[in-house]
Amino acid sequence: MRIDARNLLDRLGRSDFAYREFEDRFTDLELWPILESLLRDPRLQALDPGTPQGNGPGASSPAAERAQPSITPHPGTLSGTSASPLTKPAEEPLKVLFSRYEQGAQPALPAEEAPAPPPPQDIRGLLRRLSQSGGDARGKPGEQGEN
Amino acid sequence: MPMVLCHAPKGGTGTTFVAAHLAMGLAAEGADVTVLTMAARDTMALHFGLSQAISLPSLTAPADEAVLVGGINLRYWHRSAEDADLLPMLNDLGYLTPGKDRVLVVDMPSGEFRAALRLVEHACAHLCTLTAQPDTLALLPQMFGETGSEGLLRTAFVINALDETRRLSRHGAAFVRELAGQRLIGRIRLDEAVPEAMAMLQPLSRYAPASAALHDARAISGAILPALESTAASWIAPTASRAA
Ligand SMILES: Nc1ncnc2c1ncn2[C@@H]1O[C@H](COP(=O)(O)OP(=O)(O)OP(=O)(O)O)[C@@H](O)[C@H]1O
Ligand SMILES: [Mg+2]
Repeated sequence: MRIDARNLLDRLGRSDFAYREFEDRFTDLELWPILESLLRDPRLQALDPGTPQGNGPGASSPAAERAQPSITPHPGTLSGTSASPLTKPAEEPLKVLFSRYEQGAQPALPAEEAPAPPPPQDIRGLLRRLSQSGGDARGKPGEQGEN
Repeated sequence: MPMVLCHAPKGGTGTTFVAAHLAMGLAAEGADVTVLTMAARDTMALHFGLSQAISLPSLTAPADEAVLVGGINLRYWHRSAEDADLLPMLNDLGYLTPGKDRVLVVDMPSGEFRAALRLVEHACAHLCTLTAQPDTLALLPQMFGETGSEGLLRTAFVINALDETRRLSRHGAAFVRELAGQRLIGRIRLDEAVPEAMAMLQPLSRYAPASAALHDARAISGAILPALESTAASWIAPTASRAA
């Protein structure tokens, strides 16, 4: 570590720097074609992601907590959006999902922001639908979601 | 003693780095740890602050030839990882029974995926180190397809060399988070101190005690602990729908 960084850390009373916030604007988000094509691959469903936080053995570890998928929507935290991305799952599901990736990409939430119950739409549901719809990623409006 | 298999679908993701720090973490928890490196071109010793000139003893070498670093026994398997003798030998040496007092950490090079497939069903856990890069993620379907749901039951993931200042890195990591769920047991930040420590022939903990990667890597061993004593098919509780 560079001495100036070391001195700064000492002054701050910290042992390392953690990257905090680099928020993308919602309109800047894009689904990378490679991720889109991965989402269509049925082989990814072979992996069972385990029980939600609190039940799995890994859930009690600090690493698991930090790595915990942040699948909880936090409406309005993305600049440019006011509604929760999950209110319109039938439209542009991939983009909606991806906006949640952004939420997930944020650093670990403070303890007081405990995760709420998972939203109805998840990556597995999406994977299933994608493989069932024969690769029509967008599906037909009204086929997916709750409405 | 149980075996933790470290293997990734892609080379260069940090499997050896993570295996070394997993071993150090388990040793710090009080376990008697052996590291078995299967790579023909091996860099494991560098993570322990040893020079590359040191050649590690074979798995079967006598105790007086052992290379011990901080109590960790560094060994090398010099025959093919697919060698039919390997599993029976590991079994004879007591390396395949649950318990947290003695642990075998196997560093398997990415190319040896057939050998990894053979070992994984005897391992208490399979630790798969990924980067958030597209060429790593692109190999996941093939890996999952070859391994199958049964083979993936003991798999846990670590995202290494994470740079959250990069959009693609964040998106790739988020993708893995969503995909792996509880199976993502850690994230390790990209940290220049990792190669610097090797260049200094020092363990990372000595060269840069404040290293972000060191801090992150230390959390991995704690997350693996439940696997060591597990006798269940999966140490990560399956989702309710699959368990039913
Ligand atoms: N968190 C990190 N930050 C910075 N550099 C890292 C990090 N983790 C690993 N590296 C560097 O990445 C390179 C590859 O790491 P490593 O040898 O552990 O990968 P590997 O997956 O075992 O590769 P191989 O498949 O060739 O065995 C090394 O030069 C290592 O120093
Ligand atoms: Mg390696």
